[in-house]
Amino acid sequence: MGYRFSFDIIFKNIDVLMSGLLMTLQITGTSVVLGLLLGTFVAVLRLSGNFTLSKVSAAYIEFFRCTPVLVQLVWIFYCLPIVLGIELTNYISSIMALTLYVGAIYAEALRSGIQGIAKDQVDAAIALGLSPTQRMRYIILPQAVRIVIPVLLSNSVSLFKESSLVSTVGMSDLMYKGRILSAITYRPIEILTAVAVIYFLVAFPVTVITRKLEVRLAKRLER
Amino acid sequence: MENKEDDYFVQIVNLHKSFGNLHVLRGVNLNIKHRERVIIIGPSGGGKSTLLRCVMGLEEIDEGKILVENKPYIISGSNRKNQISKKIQLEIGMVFQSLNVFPHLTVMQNLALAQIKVRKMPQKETLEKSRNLLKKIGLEDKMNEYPSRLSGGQKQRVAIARALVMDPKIMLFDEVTSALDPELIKEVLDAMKQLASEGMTMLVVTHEMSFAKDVGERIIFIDEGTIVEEGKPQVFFSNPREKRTKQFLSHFLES
Repeated sequence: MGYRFSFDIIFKNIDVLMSGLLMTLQITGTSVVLGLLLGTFVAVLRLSGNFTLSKVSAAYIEFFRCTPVLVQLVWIFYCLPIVLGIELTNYISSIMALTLYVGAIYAEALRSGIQGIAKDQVDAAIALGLSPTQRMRYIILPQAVRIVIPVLLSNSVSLFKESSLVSTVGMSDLMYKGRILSAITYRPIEILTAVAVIYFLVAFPVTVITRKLEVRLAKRLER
Repeated sequence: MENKEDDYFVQIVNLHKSFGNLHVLRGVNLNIKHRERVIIIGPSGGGKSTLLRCVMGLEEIDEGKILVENKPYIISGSNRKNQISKKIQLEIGMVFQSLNVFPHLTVMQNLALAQIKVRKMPQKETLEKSRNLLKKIGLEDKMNEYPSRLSGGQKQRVAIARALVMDPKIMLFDEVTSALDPELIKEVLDAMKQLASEGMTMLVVTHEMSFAKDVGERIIFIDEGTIVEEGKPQVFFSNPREKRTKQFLSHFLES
């Protein structure tokens, strides 16, 4: 005898799943904003020309890019309180882990964007008397950000999916709600399929927009 | 040393510059008077562009000094750090071979940025000044366009205007027509001629020999990092003394 699918279980519990999605979006959104600030700061330090600052930021970038997010999350949630002797809520730990992770990813994207700005742009800016800070702020960063916006968006979509890891420290995000519902209803196939569809419905439009933006931005920066 | 050195606007004294093992400038001495138009010609890799970039302060010089109106502008220091007067640097404007208008800013913003951020001029005054200059070079209608909508010649004219709007006392031009299609060269040279007729002090690196003859008051021939020969255009082109100069000029006569 075959498995009998029962999809109305999804619609009965859609409000639970939606509240999970809301938490997922909140965690992702917060980490994206904080990660962008952190990433920009680190990328600028990385290229500052100061040996120590550059090496420290490189070490940070490589560490967080080359270790699993799950390990970072667990480490921050369980180990950091022991090491520092402070309590961190699972919400704070989640935001911290994802921000540190995506900040490293963003920093690397921005670094390549900044270095992609031709030297002749910098020459022109120096000739006009702009200071190093002004050159970064008005000439280099605005162009670098335009170049890497598609990359940043696609990194953010990855983060949106990877945020499902926060369910392991008990955050009631979309993944967590899905797992709880699966256990209660004995309908893991239907519920987890629904969870996947919801992730897809959010992520897919963003990737489409990213592709369109890529073409438009490239045209704008043509010289 | 000349005895009337007080009259000089820019004095370049024993300038040396190396890139690694490549000794690009080997003791260049050059004096430029107020309102003088000096044209630099010579083979590629001879050091022409590097000389201009040193004068603009874009390269650290290894040895020598540059004075502007008898005041120290760039002095070579120990461990390759130059002392450079930012104030004097602002009196120098430069236009490059590469079309390097800022692509993320409109034409107007290209002109306004440094006036507002560096000169700290009020917005209204800046816009008015920029608009007048754009009107003069015939680009007023492109004011709100982004550079991607402009031709190469128009981009170079914007780059000229962007430098001029800062009120430089001398303008450096580094092969500004080399990256342009032939039909676009004239509009840029015309803008430079106009500038020359207004009495701007100019130091121009170019391969446009007819422009050099028309506009130059003095021609400098640079090869292998030194000034090989210099003279007034009539004499220089019709009767060059040095063998290397003759050789170089013969390429242009053939074509």
